[in-house]
Amino acid sequence: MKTRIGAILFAVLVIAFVLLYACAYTVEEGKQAVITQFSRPVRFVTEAGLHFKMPFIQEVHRLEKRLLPWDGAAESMQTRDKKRIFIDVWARWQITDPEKFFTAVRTERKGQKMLDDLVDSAVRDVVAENNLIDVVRSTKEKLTKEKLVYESQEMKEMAQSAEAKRDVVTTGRSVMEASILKSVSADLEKNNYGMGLAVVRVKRVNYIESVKETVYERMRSERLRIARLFESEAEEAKNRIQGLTRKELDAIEGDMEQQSAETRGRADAAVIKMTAEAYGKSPEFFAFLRSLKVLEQALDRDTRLILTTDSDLFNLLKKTTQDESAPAGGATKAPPAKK
Amino acid sequence: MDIRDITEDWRSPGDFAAALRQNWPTVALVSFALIVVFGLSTAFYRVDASDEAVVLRFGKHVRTTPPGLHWKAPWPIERVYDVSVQRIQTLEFGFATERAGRVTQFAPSGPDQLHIAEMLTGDLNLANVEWIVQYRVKDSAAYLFHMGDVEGISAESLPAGARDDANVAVPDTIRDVSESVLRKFVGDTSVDSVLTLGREQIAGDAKGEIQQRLDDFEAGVEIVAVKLQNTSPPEQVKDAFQEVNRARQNKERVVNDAEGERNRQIPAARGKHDQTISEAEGYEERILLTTQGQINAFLAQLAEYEKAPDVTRTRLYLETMEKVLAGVGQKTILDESLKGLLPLLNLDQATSRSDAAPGGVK
Repeated sequence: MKTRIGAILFAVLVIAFVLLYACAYTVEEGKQAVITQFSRPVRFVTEAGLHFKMPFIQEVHRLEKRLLPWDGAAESMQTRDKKRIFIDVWARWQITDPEKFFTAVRTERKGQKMLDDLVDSAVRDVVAENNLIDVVRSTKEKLTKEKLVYESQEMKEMAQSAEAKRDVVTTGRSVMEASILKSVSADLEKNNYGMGLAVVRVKRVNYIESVKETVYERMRSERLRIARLFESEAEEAKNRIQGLTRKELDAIEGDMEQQSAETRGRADAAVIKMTAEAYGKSPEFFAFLRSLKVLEQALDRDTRLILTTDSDLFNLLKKTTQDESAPAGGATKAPPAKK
Repeated sequence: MDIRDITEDWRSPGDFAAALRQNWPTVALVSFALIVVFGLSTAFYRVDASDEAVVLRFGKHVRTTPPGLHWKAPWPIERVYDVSVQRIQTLEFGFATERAGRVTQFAPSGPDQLHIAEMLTGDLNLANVEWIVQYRVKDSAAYLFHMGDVEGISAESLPAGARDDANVAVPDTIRDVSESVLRKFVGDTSVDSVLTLGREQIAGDAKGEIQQRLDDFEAGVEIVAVKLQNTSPPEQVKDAFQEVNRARQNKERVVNDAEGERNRQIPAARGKHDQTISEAEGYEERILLTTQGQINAFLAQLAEYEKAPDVTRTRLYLETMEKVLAGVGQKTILDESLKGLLPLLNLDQATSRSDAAPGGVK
């Protein structure tokens, strides 16, 4: 009897456990659940935790509540200014209305497929309405992240004129992304997909291969222009420095000539003044002494001297006995005949 | 009756039901014990030092626990996700490290890497930009439960263990956001700026913007750093960029040469300047002294001369003549009456007799 009761108790426990398992279900954080009864959605649970349902006749389908990724393939398309580019876009989306989503789309994977078509066509439309520059620049502003030290005025002007020649940014990427988002969101709304697009962003933009070649060519010629500018600037700087050097040298040398001439002139003037004063006391004696000196220095071994007995030297001999008058003006009469 | 008996009985499979019927209290006891052991084994968990554990009760987030040993309600009531919150993870863009180490090796950059790296700049040129993004989890619950992944639709597919990237949707999102933000900034910069001074600015601004956009998603991560690695012009135009560098360096060289020449010439000229002036000053000093000396000599002579002018005069004259005549090589003395002879004198012939009778005074 005792064993019988125990067995029944055990059986009841097992049945209760199975029943509980069939009734209870959990919804994890980041999930939501659709409860269907005979494949018809009857209830939606968005709160995480333990929940109960009718056993066996109701089924639980779990859906994501989190933001889900969408990443398109790189598509080749044409901008308004007829440039062919590759553009790669990504998005994040969410199941906003589980009821609509479950009815119209059912699984996340299918939701992505829906987006494939919608986003792709929206991107095509928007890109076709914009110039390439609008796809590249984020806003209408000038190059906002620009940080450059131009090496010269010419280079700055070169950059500015290139910027001025470029197409004017009329929208910019931010506006484009917003209008893609708006367009896709409207489509999702219209189709009652129960999906919401959180954000659409351009991931990559690039020229198609054949266009790249011409871009490389342009970049190359631009670089060579800059290189030539450097070359002429080098010449300019060199000439300027050389001119300055010449100028400075001239100033130094001129000053040197001036000061040296002044000093020497001053000395010579002082000599003139001093001698004039001193020799002025007896010009006659000075002349006599100087004449003697000249005579002494002028006549040397190679001189041929022709004297007549008429000369002062002999006169002195003749006259000394006769009178005391001094012989006139030295030996200047003697003609020194240089060989 | 003990367990040995039951196993004994099982050797005859036909008797299994009978044995169960007979020994059911033991079976129940053992089952209960097993359940208790299983419950206990799932009732504690260990959190690594760099991790944080997110505890879910029936799928609902109830608490987040720090490192250490903790108790929880046994399975299936509570379950735990380990999230590494300390470790900084790095995402590479435009290149791939094959093997990090003392000498880091990079994988050869294939077309996939190039697609990431090659960007249109604001002046519609192309530049290759490689960068890294470092992040760590700052809010483990947000990290787990805000960004989803379509490939692994149910939470059960998420690894419950200590896998670092427990939620693969998050790094994926960081990749997408980073690429958009970097392209946006490079698109707002000229190619020159991207390749030179703009790099720092782009990296700094990108960090803020990536963080901002991830916060909009409540992704629960913190961007630790954004660093631009290599920024280079496309392979096809590298030679032209080299040419610019060469011209720039050549300019510097030419300017340096000219400056050098200038630096060589100017000091030399200054030295010459000072030298010449010193020489002039020396000349001045010397000539003044010399002159003064001559004057003094003259004045002294004059003073004595004036005492006996005639005799002094004659003496000086004669002394000089004596000295002079002694030094003269050839002397011809003509009587004054023979003056007419002078033109007839053969001067050339006379010169050849150079040492004819010196000092002939009558």
